[in-house]
Amino acid sequence: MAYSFPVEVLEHIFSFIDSDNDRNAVSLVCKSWYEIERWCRRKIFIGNCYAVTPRIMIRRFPELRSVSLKGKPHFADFNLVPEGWGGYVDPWVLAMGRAYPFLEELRLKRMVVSDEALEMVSKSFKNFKVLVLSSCEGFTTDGLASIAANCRNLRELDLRESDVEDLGGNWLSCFPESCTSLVSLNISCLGSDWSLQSLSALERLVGRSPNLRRLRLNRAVPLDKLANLLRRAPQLVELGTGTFSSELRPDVFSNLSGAFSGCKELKALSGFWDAVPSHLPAVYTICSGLTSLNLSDANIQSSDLVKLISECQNLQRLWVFDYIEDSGLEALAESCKNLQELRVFPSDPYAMEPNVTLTEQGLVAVSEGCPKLESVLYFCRQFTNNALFTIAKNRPNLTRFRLCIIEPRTPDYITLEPLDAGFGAIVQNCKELRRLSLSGLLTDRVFEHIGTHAKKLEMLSIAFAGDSDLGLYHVLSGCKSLRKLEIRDCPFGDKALLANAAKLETMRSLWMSSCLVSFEACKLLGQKMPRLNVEVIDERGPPDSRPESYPVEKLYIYRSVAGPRLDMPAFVWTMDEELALRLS
Amino acid sequence: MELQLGLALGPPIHNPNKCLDLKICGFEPNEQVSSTPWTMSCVGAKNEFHVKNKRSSIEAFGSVVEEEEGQKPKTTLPLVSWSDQPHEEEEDNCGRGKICKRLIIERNQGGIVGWPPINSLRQKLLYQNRHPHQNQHGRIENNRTGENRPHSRSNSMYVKVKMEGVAIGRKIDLKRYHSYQTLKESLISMFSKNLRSELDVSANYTLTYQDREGDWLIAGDVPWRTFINSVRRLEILNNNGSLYRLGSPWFII
Repeated sequence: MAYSFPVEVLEHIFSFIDSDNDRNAVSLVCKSWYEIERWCRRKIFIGNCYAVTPRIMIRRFPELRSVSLKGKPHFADFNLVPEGWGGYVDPWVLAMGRAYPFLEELRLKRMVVSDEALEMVSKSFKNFKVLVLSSCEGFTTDGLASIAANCRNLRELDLRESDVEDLGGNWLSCFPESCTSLVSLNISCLGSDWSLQSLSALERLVGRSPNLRRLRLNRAVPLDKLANLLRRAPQLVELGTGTFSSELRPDVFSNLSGAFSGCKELKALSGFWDAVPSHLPAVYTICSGLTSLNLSDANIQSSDLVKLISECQNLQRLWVFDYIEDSGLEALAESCKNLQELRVFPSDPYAMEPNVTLTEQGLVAVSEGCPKLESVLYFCRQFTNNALFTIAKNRPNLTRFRLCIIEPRTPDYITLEPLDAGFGAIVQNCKELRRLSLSGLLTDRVFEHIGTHAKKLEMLSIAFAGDSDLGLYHVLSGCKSLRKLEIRDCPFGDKALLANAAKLETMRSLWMSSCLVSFEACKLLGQKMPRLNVEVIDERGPPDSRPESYPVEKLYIYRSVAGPRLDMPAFVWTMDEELALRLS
Repeated sequence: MELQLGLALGPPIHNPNKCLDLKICGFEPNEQVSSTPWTMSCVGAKNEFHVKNKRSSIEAFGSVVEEEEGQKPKTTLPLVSWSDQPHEEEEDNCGRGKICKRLIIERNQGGIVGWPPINSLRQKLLYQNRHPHQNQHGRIENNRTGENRPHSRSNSMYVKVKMEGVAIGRKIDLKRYHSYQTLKESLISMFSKNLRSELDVSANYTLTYQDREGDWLIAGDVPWRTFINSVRRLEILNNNGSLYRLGSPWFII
């Protein structure tokens, strides 16, 4: 059948198929479809840069235009992955520079990017359009200067949450006057000290970018410059302000207010560093159009938050500090009936006593009042099983539920019981749940619930929970769709891991730190499963300097067709057969 | 010295004396706890470590549940057990079944590495909010010449802050702030132990500063830039004192 269609026809049909999963399915139909598909695939997403090598990627997909790569495991965000672990993009850039002269897009997450790599990107790809560096590190403003200077058709430069070393200079002025193609610029993670030249370079850049839709400034951009920028870019759809405080002069305020009202297409707002409540009304004119509001960098208190939020009836996403308190969340539940995503961050997580009145009540209220709520990230200090039952009952449409009770192993504060039943209700009722993070006091029971009910769960984060291997066993044997599992400080050991070794090849990765997996088990796993990279991360020295039954510090297991990697630092050991033989 | 490391708080502690065990073991609240409890016990427990079989190794690490038939999970000791009223008898509090609070040992930005799970950018923001007197790289800058000349070309501008009735003064880097609001909020956190109550600060305290000419003025009346250029040092006055109040209270929360 496949042979009766000309290749061009099949290619044309395939060009409408965008999703990676569908493309993968197409390539499995038959050999000729595999061949046709691989030549016309333009976009690839590699969830673990060590699962495959640049050479393998290039060999199979010779005509890519867009590459997305992820490096370090998620727990690197919380300083659990030691410095120097890996995730270097340089070898990828080197290989792609030769193989993909027409590459247009590069999206990296949690990777180490050097200035040299950025320079290479800027010079190797003549039609380079999109650079997204999410939670990356290792580069400076010099690297950014190369991108600005050499990428003639740059559309997107997004540095979200990356750690960039600011070497001063004025990299923004490296954008040539002829560069007018910018659509998205996110520099919110950059430092707080900027010169006047940088500010005016920014103004000029914004002024000559008629297609600019997304602009996220950094803290260094003062409030009195914001009005000017807005007037030059009234077509903005997303705005991240700079610092949102200044001397309260009436003319600054009215200027700002006027500038905001000119931005009739604004849908998303963020920034608001140092926001002074009296300045907030400047944005009221555009609030009714907002679908996304990120106040998680602003120390605004509850009553001012409520005033602002009540203007935003169409809000779909809200990120906010726990200053909002239960009362604010109740008001949110009243006014924002389209809310889909809520994230509440802790303003003082290290304090012994709560500094705000944010409890389980707030989340319960939102779950009751917001019928479209599907994604939750909630930091608080107390919870009850009953509250979880209520949330589960109200919101069976939850797809992402991350609850962080700040103190590890905190029980239900009323009954003093573990929160097993509550989380059990969540997984049982929310059948579409894809992501779950647990906290509080939890026994093996909760894992039994999860293994039994969470059939669509793809990512699970566990900390300070469980009693025994049985907990891990339930998860590995029950969660059919599990792709990423990350565990810290749980009494999970060898048995469950070894009994479910085959499961690990169906997942992207497993992270376990401060658990009870012995070096011996790691060796065994590494030997028996050639398509798994079993990395032992241990800063105490070589694993063979301790008895084999000692637990390893950290363990990162991921499936790979690339074999053990060659860029491991001294504190990482992979358990391939040869190494295992040498060590035994 | 060995530490009894707990894995789960478990049901309310039956044996109140266990709360005291840790003190007997010499565990001091200021002691740096390693990021991974397992590391500590690995290093410390070498003497009693049995390399017989897997079960023994698990035993050595304290309170993991053994998979013996019919055995109920052992109740485990908490890492540290501290009541919320530190002066009361430990025994009483634990005996009443009250939740014993964990003592979070201040280390860097908290007690346990990577907990609560907040990413580094956000942690930096929180850290800057809590420690405004440290520069961006976390080192405390000593402005030795700053006594009489706090204003400098550098990235920091340290002035002394005194609170009436508090013996020890502090130093604060004014370059970290861009408005009175953020300055005052930081001062509240900085002196939170000394405030009678953080709820009604506006009525109880006034922030004053000494300007270039040596006069004491209420902070907040002049534009921020002017304030920055002339401030030499700060003092927080107690409104209940006998000092002459120059004008409106300073905190508007």
